[in-house]
Order: sequence, then structure tokens, then C-alpha cells
Amino acid sequence: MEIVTELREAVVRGDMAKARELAEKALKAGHDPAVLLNDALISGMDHVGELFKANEVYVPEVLLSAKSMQQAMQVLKPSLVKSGIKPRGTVVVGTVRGDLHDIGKNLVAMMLEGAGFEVIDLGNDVPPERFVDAAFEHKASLIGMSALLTTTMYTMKETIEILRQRRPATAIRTMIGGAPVTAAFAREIGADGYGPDAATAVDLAKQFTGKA
Amino acid sequence: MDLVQRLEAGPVLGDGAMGTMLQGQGLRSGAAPELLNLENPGLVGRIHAGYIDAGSEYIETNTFGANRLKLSQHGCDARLDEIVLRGVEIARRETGDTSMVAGSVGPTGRLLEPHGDTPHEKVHEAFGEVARLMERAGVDFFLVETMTDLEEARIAIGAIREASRRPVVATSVFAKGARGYRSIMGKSPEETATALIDAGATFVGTNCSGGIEEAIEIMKAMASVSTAAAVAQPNAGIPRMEGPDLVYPETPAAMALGVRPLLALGVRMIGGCCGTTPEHIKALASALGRS
Repeated sequence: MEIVTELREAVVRGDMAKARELAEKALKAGHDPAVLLNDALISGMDHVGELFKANEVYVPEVLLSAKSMQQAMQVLKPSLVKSGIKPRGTVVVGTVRGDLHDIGKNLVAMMLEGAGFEVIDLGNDVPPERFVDAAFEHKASLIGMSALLTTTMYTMKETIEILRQRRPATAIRTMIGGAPVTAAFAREIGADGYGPDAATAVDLAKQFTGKA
Repeated sequence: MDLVQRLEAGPVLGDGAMGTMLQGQGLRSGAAPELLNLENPGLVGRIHAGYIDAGSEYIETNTFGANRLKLSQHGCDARLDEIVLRGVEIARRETGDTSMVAGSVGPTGRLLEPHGDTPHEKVHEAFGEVARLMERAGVDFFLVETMTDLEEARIAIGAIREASRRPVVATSVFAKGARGYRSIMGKSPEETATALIDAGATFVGTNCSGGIEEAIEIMKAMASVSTAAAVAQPNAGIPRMEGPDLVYPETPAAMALGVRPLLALGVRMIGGCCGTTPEHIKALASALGRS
């Protein structure tokens, strides 16, 4: 089997050790790191995202695939930087103020990285102003907010309000997600997008950055 | 009071939400709700009393996030012992001997290895610590709830079993997708029920997974594999924004309509989760034929 395909399959399967080993081997064999990134890692994670959306796999499988992708990415990164490969866009993500649950947010962050985005992860318990400040500072095109608690999700609205107050004509988009969040809630608070799952969040990010 | 004996006499009514009630009464967003056991025990006691007045036959301690792993994120893990002991004490003061105290045990918020970075032993240790405190303080039974990872729930049950001989009730969260109800980790209600009982749970069920309709569907699945599928504590529907307020749309009357189908499935511990209030519990009480 061709090594690019093999690497892609290791990512899909969630075989961390194999993904790392294959990435090293492929680089040594002279493969273009950009091709490995696109055709093995990103393509593999895309496929995992599709399986996840169809409920063919669940969070554990996605996490293992994302970790495998990260393993390979660590190997590729120096070469990617050297050859000047730019990320697809920058996304600021975090769990909202008062909420310490970061499992869902981490999943989204990993899948965004898997899709080639630069991810600024603000962690959990992130106040509304910090989302906005970080988006300006890192020239992000998108803010992603997560909440697990029904008692914290309303703070998403504050972030959107602050963003619009400070830059009424901003091109920065917002997307939200988390167990209690619904599409109707997203509309009510004026978010640009709602991701019912991590894979849909990646689709939204691609749409919003115009690189679907 | 013995939960198993009490259930032989008929269904028991639980309480409603604690977190969303505290939120409505000025809990600072972001603060650990369990700290109120020390800082404002009167408020916690009044919420318990409201549920007992509404007809609750068991109430849950305000200890949902009281485990070392979660409290350390709030920087108050050093106060774990007093938070748990006081939590049980506050509840017991309101129940006296007439209602039961359920020791609420929620998830650690960490992902277990290999998917996350938290070793199993660490989670086992954290739950064991809570269980020993609750055993010492004298809860009537344990309520392991809002679990999304079956493995974490199994660890919790095992740790409690080592610390206590009191009944352990375990409820999990599911969402409906293309393949029906599954936990975020991909487990069905059927396999979850079987595995939780296997791990030592006395009764199993669901909480928080949506409103009363969702609870009925999930309990139908669990009931198909075990007669120990006995617990439903749904939310007051799925919340939405109305102006500046987050509103739970399911009315007490709507929720009470679910009592009959739940009883028909063999469910005999019914209460509420997020967004439910003493009004919901009153409606459930009257649907159960209590005056």
C-alpha cells in the first residue's frame, strides 16, 4: 500500500504509534509534507468526521484518531513551517465563563486542527471579553464557544454583543455548540452558526472561511 | 430508611433541580455550587425544604461536583471533606426520618485514558474518597448521576461499593442520533443498563437527557434488558432564550403526563433535573396519586 494511504488509514483507525512511525518514514522517503498533511491527515480526519456525523463512530474513536493525527502532525510540523504552508484560517475556541467542561471543546479543537486550521484554545471558564480580545489579537476569522451547562450557555450572547459593539462591521463569525445548545438558541442569540457535533463545527468553520 | 424496602411499598418521588434553582437565587456564575454548603447553608436548606413540601420522598445532597478532581479546578479541593459532610448534614436536617437523603455523585469532568489523560486509578480514588465521606455522614443511598462515560460510571459504582453497603443508583445521559439514543461515548441505553448493573448498581436509569418524552423512550430501552431500570429524572424540556432569560419550556402539567407511561415501564423513582422546580414535583406528586 502506498505510504500516504497507509498513514491516512492509521489516522482513521486511531493507531497513534503507527501514525507517528509512518509520518517519519514518509518524510525520510522524501514525500512532500504538504501532500502528507492534505491527503493523509486532513483527508483521514475528514473521513472520521463523516463517520462521526453518521453515528458510525462516537467520541472515543474520534479522540483516538485526533490523537493519531496530532502524533503525525508533530513530525510534519517543522517541515511544514520550513516550506511556508499556511493554515486554513484561525479559530478561537473556548468553554464559556462559569463552565469547566472541556471535553466537547477539546474535541472541536482537535478536529479543527485536523482540518488544517490554526486553533487558539482559550481553555475553559473563558469570559466573553477574552473571546473577543483573542480573536482580534490573533486575527481570527471565527470564534467557537462551547457550554455544557444550561446555567452558563447564556453568556454566549454576551460575547456576540461585545463583538458587535466593538466592531459593528466585523467579519469575525461566531459558532456555538454543547449539549444544551440548540439551533433555535443560536438564532435567538444571533450566533452565525450552530454545531450539533464537532464534525459539523468543522464544516461551519470551512464555510465561514470560504474554503469549503 | 432503606430504599429497597421503601420501593417495595410503591414508587418514590425524588426532588427537582438544585443547580438551576441556585442560579435563580444569585449563585455567581462560575462559582462551585457545592461551596454554598459552607457559605450559605440556609439557601441550600431552603431549596431542599421546598422540595420536601412539594412531596419529595428523597432529596439529593448539594454535592454533584464535590470530588477532588472537579473541585481542584475551582481551587477549593482542600475543603472537600467539609463540603460533603455539610452537604449531607444540610439535607438530613430537612428530611428528618421521613424522607431519604441521596448522596449525589456527578462526573469528574475528566476524560479517562486512553481517550483522555486521566488514569482510571485517579478517578477511582476520587470517587472512593467521596463515598467514604458520604457513608460516614449517613446518606440513605448513593445517586451516581449525569454520567456520559459508562466507564467512569462503572468506576464510581465500584468505588462506592468498596466504601459502603448502601444501595447505589446510577443514571446516565443519552442523546438521540441516527442510530437512536446513545451516550456521547456511543453506548446505548440497553448496554449501559446492563453494564451498570454488572458493576454493582442497585437501580439504573437516566437523568438530564432532555424532557419527559426522551426519558420515556430511554427507559423503554433500559426496561427491555432489566427490571432494575427504575429511575427517570428528566429536565424540564430543552432550554431556550426568551429575551434575557433562559427558559425551560416543559410545564409541570406536561411533565406529569409522563408519570403513567413511566410507571408502566417499571420506573419507580421519578424526579427532575435541570429546570425543574417544586411546582414540577407537586405535579408529579399528584400524578402519583399523592394528595
